[in-house]
Amino acid sequence: MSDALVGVLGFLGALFLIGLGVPVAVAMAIAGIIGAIYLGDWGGISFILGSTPYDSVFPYSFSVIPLFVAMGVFAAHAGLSRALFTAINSFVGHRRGGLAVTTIGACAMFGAICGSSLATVATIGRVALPEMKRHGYAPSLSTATVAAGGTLGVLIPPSILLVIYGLLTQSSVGKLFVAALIPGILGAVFYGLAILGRVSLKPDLAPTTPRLSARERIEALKTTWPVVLLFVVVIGGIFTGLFSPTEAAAVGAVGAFALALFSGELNRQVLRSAVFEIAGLSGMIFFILIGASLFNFFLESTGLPQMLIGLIEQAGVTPLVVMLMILVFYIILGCFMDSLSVVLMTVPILAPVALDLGFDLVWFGIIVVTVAEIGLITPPVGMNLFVVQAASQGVPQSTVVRGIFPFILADILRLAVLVAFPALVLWLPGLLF
Amino acid sequence: MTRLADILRAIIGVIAGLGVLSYGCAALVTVADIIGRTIGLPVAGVVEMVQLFVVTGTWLVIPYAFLTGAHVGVDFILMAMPRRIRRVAGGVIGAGTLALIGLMLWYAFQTFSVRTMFGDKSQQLGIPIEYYWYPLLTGLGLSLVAVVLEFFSSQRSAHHV
Amino acid sequence: ETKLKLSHFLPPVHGIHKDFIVPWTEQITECTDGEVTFEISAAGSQLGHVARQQEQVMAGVVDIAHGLHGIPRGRFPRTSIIDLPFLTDDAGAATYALWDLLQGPLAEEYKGLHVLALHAHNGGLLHTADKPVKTMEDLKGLRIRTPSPAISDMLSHLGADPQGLPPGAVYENLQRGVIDGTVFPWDPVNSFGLNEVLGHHLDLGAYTVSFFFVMNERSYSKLSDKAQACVDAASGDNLVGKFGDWWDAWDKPGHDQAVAAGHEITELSDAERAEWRAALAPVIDDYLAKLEADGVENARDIYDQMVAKVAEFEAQQ
Ligand code: NA
Ligand code: NA
Repeated sequence: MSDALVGVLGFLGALFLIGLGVPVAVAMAIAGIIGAIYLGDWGGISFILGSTPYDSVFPYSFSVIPLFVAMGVFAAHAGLSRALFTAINSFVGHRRGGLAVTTIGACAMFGAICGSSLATVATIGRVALPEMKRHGYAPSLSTATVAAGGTLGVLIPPSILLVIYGLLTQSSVGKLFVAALIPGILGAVFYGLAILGRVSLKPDLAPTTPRLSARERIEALKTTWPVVLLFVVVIGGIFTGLFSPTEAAAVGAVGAFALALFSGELNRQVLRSAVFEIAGLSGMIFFILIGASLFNFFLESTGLPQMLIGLIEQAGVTPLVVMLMILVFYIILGCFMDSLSVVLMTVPILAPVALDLGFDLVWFGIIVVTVAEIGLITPPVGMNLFVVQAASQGVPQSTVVRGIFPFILADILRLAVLVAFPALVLWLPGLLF
Repeated sequence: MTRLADILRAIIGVIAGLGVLSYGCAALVTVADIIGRTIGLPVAGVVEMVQLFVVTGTWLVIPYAFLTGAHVGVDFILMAMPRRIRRVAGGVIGAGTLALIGLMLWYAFQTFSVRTMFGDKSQQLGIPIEYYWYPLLTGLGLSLVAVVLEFFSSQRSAHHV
Repeated sequence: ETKLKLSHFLPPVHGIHKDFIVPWTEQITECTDGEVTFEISAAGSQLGHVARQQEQVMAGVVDIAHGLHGIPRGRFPRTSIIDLPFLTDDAGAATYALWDLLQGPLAEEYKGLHVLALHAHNGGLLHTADKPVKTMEDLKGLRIRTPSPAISDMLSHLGADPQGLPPGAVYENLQRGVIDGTVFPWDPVNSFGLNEVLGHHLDLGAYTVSFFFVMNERSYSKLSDKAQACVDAASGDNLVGKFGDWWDAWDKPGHDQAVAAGHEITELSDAERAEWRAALAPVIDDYLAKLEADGVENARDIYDQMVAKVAEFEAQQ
């Protein structure tokens, strides 16, 4: 059996373990260890076993992981999500489907101060789901909207996933953040259009709510100042050169903590749950990084990426066809896996292929994160679908899944636009760097 | 038995709190440097301090992540199986996780011995490498405990469901 | 047939990978008629950490490794004396001195290793973004990225604030003004695109950084006689002589870019270099005294031998 074939089997073996309910990090680690032993490299994998608990945590740029997590958690506890929701709602809530559009907008803006998708779903869901329920929105629309909106938290900077992609491919995190801005906004717009399209076909999904006066709107808008402040300080600081993207996470975490403190909502109990939320999320992400390094050590020694490049060159198909095949592969993979493990397992294999085909690695990063994020809302295994179901108290999974399809369609359309017009990704970083 | 388990859980919780505190120190020292350098008072060796705080914080929170089962896992194949098989599979997964962390602890200790034997120090501040490794080894050891605790509590709940 | 694992910490586009390592492996594969082949792990792979090369090759995880003597600090205290400020500014001279001393006082640092080559880069420069540095006084209060403990000591002594940063983070931090400058040879200035954010270069020929290219001794002795002969033919005396020209070639693009961009490049005269060297004598003394306290009893002797070998090389040129 050729080594590259062993690599493919190891990949499938890891997927199978994940399907059996083995935690993703453990599944990747075990597949990597067994694969390396099969290749006769116990010496190598035992060396990595001993060094990766240190080397996977040590890089300076990884300090952003716990700090962006902390920023999102404290922002959620500072009541910022409610303020955002109320303000946007005061402008568009009275139109048909307005509450759903509001939810998307709130997700996008919360995504701008939060680095993780699950946190965005949980936070906005806590506010938006009861509100939509109260106004008689169909559960299939309300839950699916929150689940889809949550994916914007991944792409709109800051984004933990982009930081990890940057480290894997040695591309600039600053460039990746700037490049993600337009695709992120595009995502929000497409989601909005998907909602409007759906409610115009079936108006009873979303009853209208009363219109608010201009004064009420301004009042609502005023309460969003902490979000604006946090965003301006963090992103503005990066652009004006006051601090680096890595340092921005520290500024964001301290800023969000201060806002939570001033909001008066940070009592002992809330602080406790915030601390444990940060601990659980950060610990999980780092342990996945550790598991992935064992898996990637094995994959590298199989020579799988080089074999793929060779195959593609032999097949003589155009780069675009290869890219489309890669995207289909990602969408299928995303049906079963969470976005972080998708990125960790595939980028070391596919980034060299993309580079060899002449694609820009910053563009490829945005595309990969966009597709991986679609995986968060595709059944049967979509993390956001699970989280929103847990937050909605009693809506069955089948209802959530029924409502999600228009959003998946919107995502695939956005992907097509980004592939057709790479300038949407590369124009802004070209301008600023 | 449950009493001991409760005490161990509480210890892991407190350690996780210390880990988040360490993250907080990483954030504060970074902000102090950003403010300090605008007025000509930068923090010397800030990068190395951040790395020390993040390595420490991470290894203190990882046991907690195992305790709460917060690691991402999906089980679409397993959910379709009868409960008996699920329990057995749960046992095998627990044992596999335990073996993995055990191996990691064993080899990490060897790596630790090599690096301390050479007397490795950080480049700028000369922080001895041991300071990074003590929390790491502690965290790996506590993770073993956490996996065992989590395993028994999941078996118990599987029994009652 | 034998497949040897080779690891290094540079990206595959770097000259060390393209001009030196890959042709070296090809030469051996050809010489052995395909008996010995290679699997190369570069930067970005799990075996591509700069700080892990020595451990990997000692443990036999890889058969051959190319790494930096100074990272992690303290692994090759004797060899790293070549990194001291103003010992030499020439890759050829440094390589010549190291290779000669390997048979003498440096030998004990390579137990269990079969040394294929030692080499060092050309004299590093001080690059700054907006603030030109021409004299020692100009350095006061500047935040400068430092490559090694010896250079940290030098910068501190001259009143600058040395910053330890990974090379990949230098661009971002220069652009944001987090640091004022960096100490580097020309080669990384090119590979990290630093000319975009730099404006001034002081060619003070201050220091060099040394590299090892070594094979695990067990891996070497396991090779057939023919394969060993092929490795020997490609290495050692037949290899070290090439590094002077290689480094000149690898440094050229960074230098030419800076010239084309109209940057200010200042070169120290020999008289000025002598002044800097005199001012830094206490730093060198301290460093050697620290080494002696840490158990390298002949540190001063090694330093003097290196100075002599550098002079010998320069006399030959
Ligand atoms: Na975000
Ligand atoms: Na999915």
